[in-house]
Amino acid sequence: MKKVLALLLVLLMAASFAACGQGGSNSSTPSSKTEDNESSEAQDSSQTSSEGNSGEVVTISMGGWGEFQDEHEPGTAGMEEAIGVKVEFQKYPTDAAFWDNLPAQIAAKTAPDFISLTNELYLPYINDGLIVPITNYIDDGTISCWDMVGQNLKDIWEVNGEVYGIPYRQTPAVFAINMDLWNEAELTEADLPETWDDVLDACKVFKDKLGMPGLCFNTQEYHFTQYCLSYGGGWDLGKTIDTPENAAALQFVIDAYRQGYVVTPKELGVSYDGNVVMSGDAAMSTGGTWYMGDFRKNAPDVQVKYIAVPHAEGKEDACGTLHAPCLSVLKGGSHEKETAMAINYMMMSDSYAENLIDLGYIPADPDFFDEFKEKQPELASLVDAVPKSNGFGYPPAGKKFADALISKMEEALFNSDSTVTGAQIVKELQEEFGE
Amino acid sequence: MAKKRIGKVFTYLFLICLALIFLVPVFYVFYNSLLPKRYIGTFVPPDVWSFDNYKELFSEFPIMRWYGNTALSTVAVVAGNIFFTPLAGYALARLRFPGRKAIFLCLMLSMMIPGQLVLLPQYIMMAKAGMVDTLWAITLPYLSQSMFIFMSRQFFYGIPEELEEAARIDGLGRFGTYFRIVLPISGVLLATIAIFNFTGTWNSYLVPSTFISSADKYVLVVGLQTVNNQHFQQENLTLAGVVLLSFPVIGFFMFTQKFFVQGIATAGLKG
Amino acid sequence: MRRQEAVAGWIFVLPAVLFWLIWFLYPALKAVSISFFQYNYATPETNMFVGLANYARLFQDPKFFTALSHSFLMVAVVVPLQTLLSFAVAVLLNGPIRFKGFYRSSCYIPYVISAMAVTIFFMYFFLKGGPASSFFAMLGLENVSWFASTKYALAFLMIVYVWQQVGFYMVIFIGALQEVPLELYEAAKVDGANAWQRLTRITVPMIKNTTYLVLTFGMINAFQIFDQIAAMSKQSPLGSPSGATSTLVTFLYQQSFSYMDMGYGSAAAVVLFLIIFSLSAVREVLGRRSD
Repeated sequence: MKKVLALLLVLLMAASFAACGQGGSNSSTPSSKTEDNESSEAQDSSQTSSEGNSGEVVTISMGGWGEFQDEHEPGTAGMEEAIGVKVEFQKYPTDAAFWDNLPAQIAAKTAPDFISLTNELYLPYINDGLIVPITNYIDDGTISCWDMVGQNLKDIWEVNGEVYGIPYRQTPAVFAINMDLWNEAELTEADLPETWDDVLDACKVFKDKLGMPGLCFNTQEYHFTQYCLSYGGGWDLGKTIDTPENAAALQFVIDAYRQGYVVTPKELGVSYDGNVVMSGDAAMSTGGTWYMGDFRKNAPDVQVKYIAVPHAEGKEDACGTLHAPCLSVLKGGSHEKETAMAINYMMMSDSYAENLIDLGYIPADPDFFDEFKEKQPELASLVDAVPKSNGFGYPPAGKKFADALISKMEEALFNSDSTVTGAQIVKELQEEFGE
Repeated sequence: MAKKRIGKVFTYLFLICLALIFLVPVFYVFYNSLLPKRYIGTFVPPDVWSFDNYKELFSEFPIMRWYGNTALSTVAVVAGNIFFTPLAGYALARLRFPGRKAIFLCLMLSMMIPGQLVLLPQYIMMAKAGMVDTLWAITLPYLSQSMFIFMSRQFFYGIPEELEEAARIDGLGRFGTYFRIVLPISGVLLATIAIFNFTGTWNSYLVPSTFISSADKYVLVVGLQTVNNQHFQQENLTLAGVVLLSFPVIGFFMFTQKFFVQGIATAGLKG
Repeated sequence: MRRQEAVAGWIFVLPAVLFWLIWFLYPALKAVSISFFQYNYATPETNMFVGLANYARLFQDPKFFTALSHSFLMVAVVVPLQTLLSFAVAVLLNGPIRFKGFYRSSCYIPYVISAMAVTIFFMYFFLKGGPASSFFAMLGLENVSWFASTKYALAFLMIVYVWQQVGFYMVIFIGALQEVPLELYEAAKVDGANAWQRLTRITVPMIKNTTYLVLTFGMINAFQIFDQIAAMSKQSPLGSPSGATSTLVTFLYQQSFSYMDMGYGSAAAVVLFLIIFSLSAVREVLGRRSD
């Protein structure tokens, strides 16, 4: 009994300590804030002076993961001499290791100055204030490249009247087909699908002739969204979750899965649909042009064809998403203006755009469209899809919404007794995340 | 006699099955790590086997550097725990002093709080101390872990007190008793702490991936995560990485095994 | 004499206490206090004291209760299972057996491999049509990829976990068994006790301290499983498929880190702590009474 009492005492002590600690930090917040302001003002003044004598080089850092450095480094060539800013690349082990700790890094002032941010689950970061708006740098001319960005990209990155990043490349969704398997199933170019019914027909052939699923379906929000859009639906920031189109799209996936036409990467123990198409566990998948680089490096002998994402019968105008990452300034950096200058420099650099083209990406600047078509003939048709493509339109809850969508679909697919329908899923999501 | 023999046969059969259950997956990993990516998960003749995956890992990633970082931080942490935790555990089990119970309870509490909770407050503290993105961050806070204090305390409860009393009558002080009499017969404890602590620190992922963010300071587990491209999974390299990661720990276990045998020897003498 | 003992005691524990104060107590208190706030590290200007609102939210969140029930199930299945298995193996390997070192090492090897790696290669075995799932299909279960099935994912997690942990507890048990004086067994043999009686009347009581340790560690660790689940979930939400492997720890991680809802996640962590704490306290009281 004594021990329990002692424990309770310790707990009480802990709680009271905590309360004191919190009070202390609360009262100190305003003062530390003013300090921040002062120091950033100090930096501003030192900046103007450093621009004057142009001798000092300011080093800023760009954060990322995977092979991001290959993508961005060519854009920084000659930057140090030109504007006196040097970019260092800070590679995080995984995207989760970066995002999960970003708030603490910002608080501790160890976060990188800028990053590449995609237009998928970006709203929570913007709404929580982790991304700094750069509208004032566009207004004062520090960033002059905003004008050359296409209008639909502008729409994506202008949130509540502020610009939160400069998009540097864009990727309409594609439908990838492993042509080796396609030919093995004795299907021809003429059979390439235009509608989801065509896809189902091909799936039947794969099941009958090769005894395998034809379609790979990755249980991630990106892929769900392609299906919804191709049925004429979409999320529209949470306004249109519960629509017959979205319900029909999800139901299509569920039905096709139940009939054995679909395999998910999840069941194969991998996370990326490209792996499945490459290993030949399925022939078709929704994807993006990042397949190009991945396949060239990892499976150079597999023949892949990229076509437009199929659509539902009667929805010929439907078009998939526009994946448009941008360069965004993170909160808490001490060189905001230099960062804006660096972003502008990269965007104006031809070698940056040309490197992106070589990697299979369409640069954000329409001036490079012809060059892209010329260098990447297999993807040329994608350029025409750019103006028609849409933002992802996820509700402001971002990742929370995506996780809920995935969980509900996993329940529908991976529980063999499940009776969940597409209509139920979109209804529940609308209730929780609808705007 | 026959009955006994049958029992023996069953015991060994059971043990062999047991060893297989534990070893087959391990060998399966090793086997797969020798295959090119497209053959993974299939059975192919030995002429396809090669060390190419390992060669690729060593040539494209600073594996030796990551090994070095891992070894340095692990050795430091294990040394710290071997020194500090039996010391505290001994005091908590044997010495009477005010606050003993409270201290033990507090240490127990810290085992019950999920590590994820204190991760970010620790990060901010470290940033203030300028330790973020250095090996200090994954070493200093872990030099004395409550789990091993608890383990030591239980261990010291279990050994007879007469020996220490005799030593003290011979005029040895508390420190002398601990270092000259108690520690030398605690081989099993020290080996246990060393093994567990070595394994845990060597393989820890969440802590180093949070506290360290530049490639030249990664530990092996974290570095191997970057072997996969942004999207693409390189299972062949991942598997080879797992082997590279595991074999020093297995070696360490084989090595410390000996101390267990010594432990028996001293226990026999003591009895 | 007394004073000398007290001084020595304090000197012995001082380093441990200092580490505890700096690297545990302060961050833990900070984290606990965050649970009373709507909190984001990056935006101190908008953090707001909300009292017990985060806790109130928890008790209306069905996802929290799913996670809670999985955590309890995990502990209820895994702790007895791994304790019995590891004890049995330890007793066997402490007997007159040849190649002890080999058997011990093979049991311990799984524990030294990183949990993430172990999970990843167990997934190969439990793939649809893989060796393990085919075997269980013969016993009448569905032939599916276990880790991707809402019905079997938790069982998969338990198998991986126990497989890996048995070696750990075996080492602890072996350490304890070696401290049991052999004379006791000799004496019992002379008195005509059979092997089972020697086991239950000598071994079990003699290693009581260790069993207590193993159960306590087992419970605390089983409540805090994380790496295996993270490896299973890969790019899917933590606790995938469809929350079938969500536990209190994945719940708190998801809320605090993925959704940047630090206050809410911390509240879940405090509840987890209180649960482990009260279970330990109950165990303590019961243990006292039975003595």
